[in-house]
Amino acid sequence: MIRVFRLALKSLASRRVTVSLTVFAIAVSVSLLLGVERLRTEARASFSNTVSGTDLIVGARSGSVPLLLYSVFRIGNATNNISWRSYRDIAAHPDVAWTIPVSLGDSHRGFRVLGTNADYFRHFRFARTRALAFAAGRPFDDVFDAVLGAHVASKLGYRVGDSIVIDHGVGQIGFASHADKPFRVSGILARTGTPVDQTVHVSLAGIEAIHIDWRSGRPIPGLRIDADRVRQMALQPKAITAFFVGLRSRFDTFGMQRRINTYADEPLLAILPGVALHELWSLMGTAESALSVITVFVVVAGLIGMVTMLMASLNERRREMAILRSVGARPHHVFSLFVLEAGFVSVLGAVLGVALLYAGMATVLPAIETRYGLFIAINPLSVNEWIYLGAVVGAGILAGMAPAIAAVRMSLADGMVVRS
Amino acid sequence: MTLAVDLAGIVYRWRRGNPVVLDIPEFAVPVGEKLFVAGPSGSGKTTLLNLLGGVALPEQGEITVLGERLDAKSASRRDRFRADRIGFVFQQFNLVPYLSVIDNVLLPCRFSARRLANAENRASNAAEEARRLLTAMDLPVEDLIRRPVTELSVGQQQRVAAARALIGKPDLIIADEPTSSLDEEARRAFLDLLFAEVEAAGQTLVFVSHDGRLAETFDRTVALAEINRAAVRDAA
Repeated sequence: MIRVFRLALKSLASRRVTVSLTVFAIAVSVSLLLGVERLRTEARASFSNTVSGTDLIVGARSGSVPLLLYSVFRIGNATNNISWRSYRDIAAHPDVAWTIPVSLGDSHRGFRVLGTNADYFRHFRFARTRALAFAAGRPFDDVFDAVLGAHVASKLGYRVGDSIVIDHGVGQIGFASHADKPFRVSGILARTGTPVDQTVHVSLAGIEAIHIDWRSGRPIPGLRIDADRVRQMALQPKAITAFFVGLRSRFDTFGMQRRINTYADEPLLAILPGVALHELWSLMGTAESALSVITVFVVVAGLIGMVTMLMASLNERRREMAILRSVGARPHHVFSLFVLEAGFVSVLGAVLGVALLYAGMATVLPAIETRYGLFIAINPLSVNEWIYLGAVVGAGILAGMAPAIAAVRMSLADGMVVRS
Repeated sequence: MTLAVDLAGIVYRWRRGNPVVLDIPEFAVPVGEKLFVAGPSGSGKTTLLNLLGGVALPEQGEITVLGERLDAKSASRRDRFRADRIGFVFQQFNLVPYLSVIDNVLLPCRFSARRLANAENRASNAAEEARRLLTAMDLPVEDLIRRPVTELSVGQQQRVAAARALIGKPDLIIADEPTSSLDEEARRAFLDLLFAEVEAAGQTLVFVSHDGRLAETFDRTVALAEINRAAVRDAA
């Protein structure tokens, strides 16, 4: 092995062009494999980190996935609201430690507006145990105060004290806006890597206030109540979209879930966020594993390219093999020469692939972050990724055995003189 | 008189059922002899070389090279024996294209500890011995070592190949038409240089060629057709 080590290196160096193309093909496939794998794990991690510490999420009766989607991910809309009375009733149950009411339906320049109360900042948890923190300012205090998620603030360039107008509905372009009652940015949250970053938070009273002179999605003709007068009015919401529940003891979760699901006064649905997250993720599982399978095949294609290169060189290398045999190279030396060449090409491909991965991440991740608000840290290679790299190199060496065996056979048949 | 090569009752064919290529009842080369083996291509020349090098084995018969029975050795022992004791020069394209001139000459030392040790005994190190041999082969060493071997003229390539065959002082040098691609003058010069080195080191030389004009400078000439009964039969 050692005897032919340098031979293998020099042999590859002499075929720089074909070798570097082969290395590059493997590198691209390796970076794709690692990139997809990394995106998968990061997406999964940030996905399961979106909500933590909440025992139940309660909304109008629909399905657990839609409820999770609109309450946590701000995707889609609630089919129905739930009444304030039912909410207060459940919130007052002795087993309940805390609740966070959530009222959705409006937006600000494409970002969802979420009406809630101060308990949101106190009790909401993500990424296992992390609480929301303020990068600037403080929670809303006045009816027309708004707290922005990190991404909203950075994308739209808002600072504390800026004035914003909330649009009615959730379209990218608001059909109607609540221009008569502008909000003031009272605080900006620190980045969380969750949908919170893309949310505009206001108080429930604020949501109530902007809709006080509206009916059926448009202003009531002839009725104008200005912001200052609204402040004097009772702004008790009659309905909310959903609420998060924290229990005193997790052992009561199933009991409470059953109680809510069989609530007599109103059809309600209580879901366990962990279970629903898992259910939602498994919906994406097929696409996810299809992607993995594709990347594996891309790597296989890269390695086949390498085997092709080595096989194609066999005929022109018959004399070289004959010379090596004449100076005493044994069949295993010929074998090692080809396997080492395959090994080097694979290792170079893997190394260059990792370099491409990091170069790709450095250029693409900021774009992903600004466009999708998905923050992915550039971490060193994980144990799993090292295993993948090892598998690629191992497969490359294994694939190299095919041309190696062919070379040994050829050189045994040729002996020391190649008949041309 | 000890023998460098001693063949007895050799029968060889590619496969069973194929015609016999070699049928050599006896053939001997004494140590230190410079033997010319005359044979046109197709006379079983290549097969003879493969047998002497231990790359091929006969169907019948005994091959004794430098006192060792090659037909009784395993394939890997024969490979090791060849690496240690025999130097080869072939017709053309003798050099590994991706290695430097020096690395090509040093190639046998990579596979034979014995030849490496011999080369190191002769000079301060193996590379130095390679330079000495290249100089002895009348090559402009300092100019050559910077160039890829593929840029060398055919005559230069053959002399590099000869230096490779000679390095580490193998006991037997086998040359297969090494001069057939050279012109008259270069042929003469090549032989003189080869002889000088072989004689100085006391090596045995078996030189195979179809070109009978070269024969006169050798100690002895043997026609392959005379020792190989298969060739006689074919000719008849």
